[in-house]
Amino acid sequence: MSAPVEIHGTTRAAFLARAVLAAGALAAGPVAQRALAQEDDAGVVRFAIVLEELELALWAHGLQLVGLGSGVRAVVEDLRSDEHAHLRALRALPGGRGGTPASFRFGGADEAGFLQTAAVVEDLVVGGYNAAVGRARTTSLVETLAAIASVEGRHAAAMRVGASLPPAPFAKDPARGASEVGDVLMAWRAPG
Amino acid sequence: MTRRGLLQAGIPGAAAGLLALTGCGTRAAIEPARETGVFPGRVGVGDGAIVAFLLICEYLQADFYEQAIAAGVISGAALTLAHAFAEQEQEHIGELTDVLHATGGAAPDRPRTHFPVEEPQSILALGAHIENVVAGAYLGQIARVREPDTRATLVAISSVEARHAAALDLQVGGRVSPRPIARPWTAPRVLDELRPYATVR
Repeated sequence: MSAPVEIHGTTRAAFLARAVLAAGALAAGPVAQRALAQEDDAGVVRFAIVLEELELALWAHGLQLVGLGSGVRAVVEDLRSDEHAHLRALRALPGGRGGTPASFRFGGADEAGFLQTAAVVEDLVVGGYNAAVGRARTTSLVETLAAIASVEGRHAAAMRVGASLPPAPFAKDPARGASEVGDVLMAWRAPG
Repeated sequence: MTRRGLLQAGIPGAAAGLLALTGCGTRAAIEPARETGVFPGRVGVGDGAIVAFLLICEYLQADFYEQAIAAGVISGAALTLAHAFAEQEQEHIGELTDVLHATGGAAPDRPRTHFPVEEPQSILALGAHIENVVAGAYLGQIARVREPDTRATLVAISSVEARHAAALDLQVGGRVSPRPIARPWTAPRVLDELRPYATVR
């Protein structure tokens, strides 16, 4: 498990949490934490499912925004469709069924705030998937996760471009392990 | 220039490097690959050979951006992307070279290249194509790598190549993601796509 990475005197997890909280995001965490605690392939699959649930909640939030432009809306609908396909693929894998879906809520009411939040979330998801690929033991799971991670990288780039950020902030996307992602998700814990 | 001519004059130096890494670096072993155009079918044998293959892809990408920038016909956001991506491809070359050295392997010969970089839109379209090919190349190899650290390096680069591909696809009016789950590309298919840009030494 990798040590937290320092970013200007804070950890990346805290940095991410603050960035997203600043955009008004709230989330439920216990389900994610349980998934993240499992070390076998089933746990890896559950971890990936939590990431997809996070994204689907984000896109659902975005599509409810009144001020979302038509171009952004069309892209978000495409990305939501991709996440549904990911979820179907993951649920078909051993360990992919059952469990209580994690629920997430996002604040922020304008397009700019939404895109900034989406960029942060998608970067997190890419890092989560890259870590998941490293944890997966079976070849078929490695292939599936890597193929989804690639698409998540594309999503992240698009959201970053939308938020006027460079599409690829680093030459290598850092893996964000279970504890790091868990810290961020727990920071978004929804009340109740 | 025929495909066979390109095979014999362009990338074969790199092929020789790959074959050497897999323990088959004799002239006799290389000749059949040249004759059949199967580049090399042994790419998947061993982590070193996989990394060497991907290093060839990175060489080609780096050359593409260098030539695209030097042509002086792209500007604005496209030029900004080209500079950023060029820098990142160079970092990938350094990463993969370090992996090879750490495992006792040697970097393959760097092929000479020539890319058509006369017109901005075609440059962007070609860039998008190359990035998509290389993103697929990484996906085709990740699950075949045995060493966890090497796999982690390839995964970390793979999603960046996907980012590059998406950014350039958007520049030319393409979709963010052509399909919900990306497809891996085999090494021979990747090399077939890249071979036209290798030139006579």
